[in-house]
Amino acid sequence: MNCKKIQDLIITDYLDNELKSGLQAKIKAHIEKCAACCQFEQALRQAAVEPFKHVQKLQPPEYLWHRIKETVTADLPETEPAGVLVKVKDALGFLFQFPKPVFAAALVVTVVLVSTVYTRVIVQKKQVARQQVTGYLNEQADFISSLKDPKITYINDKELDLNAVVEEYLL
Amino acid sequence: MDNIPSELILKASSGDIQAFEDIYHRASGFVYSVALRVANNAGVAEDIVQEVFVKVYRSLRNFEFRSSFKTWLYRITVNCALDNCKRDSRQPSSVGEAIEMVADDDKTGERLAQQDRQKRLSDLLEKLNPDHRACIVLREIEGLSYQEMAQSLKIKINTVRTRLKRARQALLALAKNEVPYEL
Repeated sequence: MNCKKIQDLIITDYLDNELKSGLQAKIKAHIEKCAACCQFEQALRQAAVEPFKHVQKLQPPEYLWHRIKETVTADLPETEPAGVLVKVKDALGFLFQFPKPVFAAALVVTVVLVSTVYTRVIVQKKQVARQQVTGYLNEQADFISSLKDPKITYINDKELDLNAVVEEYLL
Repeated sequence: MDNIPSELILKASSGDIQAFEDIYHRASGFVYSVALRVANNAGVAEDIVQEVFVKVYRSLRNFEFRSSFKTWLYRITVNCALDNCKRDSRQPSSVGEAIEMVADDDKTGERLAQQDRQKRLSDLLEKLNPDHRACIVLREIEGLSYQEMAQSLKIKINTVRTRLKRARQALLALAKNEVPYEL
């Protein structure tokens, strides 16, 4: 590794101890031998690390909590649990917490299943209706064609001697 | 910032204001510190702290523990601070007031030295762009790892590296009178 690459590592990972221990040790060994990299590291620590050391930890002023409390307590009716139903929903909430990809896959499978079943039912209904219509038409066609057949004779009401039977019944 | 127990978060999420106050006292130092360093103005920092905790309170019911609460809080804080910084052009002048307010009990000599350090720090941070400033604050003052910074800022680790590199190069250039080094 040349000095430029080493200095690129010094300015970030080396300074922040983010390198694997082997590489950290290698760079440290290089810095001990190389005057330019040694000077770079020292300048960097002085300019970019030292000013941030021993910085006082700050706390916000006391009154700030009261301001925040006032704001959030004004929200309480909205954020408080609404009652038994909400508690039950919260308790069972884990049942409905799926990772997003699983939920999406389940949704796709459900949509495919529902549309397949629906399509089959519709197709079956259409087939039955078509068969009924075809059967009726065939029957009618047979009947019409049989009308032309001279071998078949039909009995009409006039030919039947119904009068005699009726008279006998009435008497 | 200390770890915040999940029981406390659950209590606060169900509207327990006492639990929320406990969370506030554990986390407000971090939030205020980041807000003050990034915004460089005590008044703006207070507004940011308020905005962060109101947002946290309102979103706690939806917090699903997929990421740690700390990371989530870091992210809200940094986003609020950067948004305020980009939106608000108030003069960065009152960091010293904040130091005075919290340092009243200190001995005078120590207090002056501390104020001097804070003033110098504030001047340095002021010269960095807000994104670089946020990186330096999270790394140097709050001690976050690259991984935590990437999660908090929602950027790649290599972007963290690039921003830290640019920020440090700028700090090195700013200190050229005290630290004689040519980049």
